[in-house]
Amino acid sequence: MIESNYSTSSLGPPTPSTTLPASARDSAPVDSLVGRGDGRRVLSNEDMVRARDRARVHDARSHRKRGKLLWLLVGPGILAMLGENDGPSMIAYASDGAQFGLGLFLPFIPLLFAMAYVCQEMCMRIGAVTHRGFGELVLQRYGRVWGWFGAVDLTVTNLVTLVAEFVAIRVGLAYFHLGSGLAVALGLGLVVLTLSGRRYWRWERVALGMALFNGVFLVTAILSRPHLGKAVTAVGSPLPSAGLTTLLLLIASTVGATITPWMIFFQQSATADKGITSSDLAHGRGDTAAGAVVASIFGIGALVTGAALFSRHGAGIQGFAGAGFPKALAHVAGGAVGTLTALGLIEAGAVAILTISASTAYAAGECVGVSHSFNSSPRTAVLFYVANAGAAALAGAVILIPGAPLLSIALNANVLATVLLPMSLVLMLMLANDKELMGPWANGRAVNRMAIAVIAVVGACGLAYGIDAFLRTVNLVGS
Amino acid sequence: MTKQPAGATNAASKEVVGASESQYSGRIEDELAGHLDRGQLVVETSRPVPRAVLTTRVATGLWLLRVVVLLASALVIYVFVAQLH
Repeated sequence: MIESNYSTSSLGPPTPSTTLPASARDSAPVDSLVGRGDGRRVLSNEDMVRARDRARVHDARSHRKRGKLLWLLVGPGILAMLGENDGPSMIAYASDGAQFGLGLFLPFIPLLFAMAYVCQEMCMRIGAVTHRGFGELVLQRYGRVWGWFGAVDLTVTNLVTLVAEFVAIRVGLAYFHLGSGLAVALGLGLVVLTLSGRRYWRWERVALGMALFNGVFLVTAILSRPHLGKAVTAVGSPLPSAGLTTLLLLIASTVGATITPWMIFFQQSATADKGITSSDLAHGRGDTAAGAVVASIFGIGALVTGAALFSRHGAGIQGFAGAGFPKALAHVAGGAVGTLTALGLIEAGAVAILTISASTAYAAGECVGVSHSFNSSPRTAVLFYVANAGAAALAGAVILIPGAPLLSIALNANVLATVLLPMSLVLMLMLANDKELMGPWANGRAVNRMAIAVIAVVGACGLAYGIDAFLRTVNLVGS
Repeated sequence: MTKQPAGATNAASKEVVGASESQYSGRIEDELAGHLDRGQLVVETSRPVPRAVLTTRVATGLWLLRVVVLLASALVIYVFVAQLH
């Protein structure tokens, strides 16, 4: 039993007593300990780095510096949401707009991000209260089988999605007549560069700075001069006149473009890694809500940009075929729109590579039970750093394979994520309702109802697409 | 009065300085550690949370969902492979 006794008042720094018995010291990895020499203190380098970050939070809170407090606490929520506005998602939104106009999707995108908020708020809360990632909690609380199932699901969807991110960067670069090799070098270089900061705070700020560039899709929407009257009336317009499979594919891939397994793993682990506690829940909710609103606006930006192709020529876009999408936009909406869209795709892919690689690394460290923090050194957290860079390297290598089915991989990445998602969502709901873990921060009835509705919608979308597409592929029903 | 050799004085003063530096860094460490909740310490998070007991109903529900999810994934992967041809 640990003898430390911390008072955790939200108004000021807690009073420490870091006297730990030998049994507690023995349970910690020996190489991560920094003792003071008297054999009584057990604080790892990771603890010290996190404590410095928390000291700034306590200082801002005790001096009532609200702006600074907000600046210090935002991050995981915005990154999860903007990270999910990745290359395939922005292409999916733009493709929806180009093929079917704004009708269904203008209200659908904010609704999906509201659903994403319900899920992400839960994992932020679990991370803040338990200080543990999703993977390790599932593994420890419900057994290794469920933990490893979750980790395998995540690894598969992450690798497929990472390939799609490299493809998105390649599409953007192709607009400037640059090739796949540069796309891989850019993606990998970013991962290694951000890892070299050796602090969660530095990694997060670089990723956040890059993620804000996602706003370029709002600029392209404005530059493509959408007809606002049409946009408003389109909200009440009927469903797209497409076949059932196409409609299900669109809905399933759009759901998969908004809520994915990696977001759950990432935000919970990043919340714990950042050092967010139960006293920061209000800011955590604000961070997640801000991320959902901003990502929704930028997603609509991509939809409206794509709709320029629908309203002017009625032509579809070949999203991942070379530089097809930005070039098609440049043709109908001007060179500036094409250039900014190409840059936006590069940014969307790059930020997603950072966040998805991080979620893979967190999950690997959590499931194996070794150090998994940006605040740890590469020597202490070997698996975390290797998995982070390795996942990106593996996906990057795939796009260099001549003749690899990149278009199919990219288009199916979101659908696969949607199909696998319900399992993670159910386990997350169980954790959020676990009073032994969550105490007074366990889910209320209203949150549970919303979460169950989200799981039902996601599950139904994935299953309906899977069954319908399969029956048509084996010609059991007509297309 | 016995005069101490200069080397001994230097060693003693270095020891005093070393001790005060150690105390100083210990104080800083104390202050910083005070900003963390107990449960945030690596030594705490490295210890597993107690295992929950899943009722038969919950365990069956989870396995059913797992089977459905795997079947749906298999369908999606089949369609993906079929599209390649």
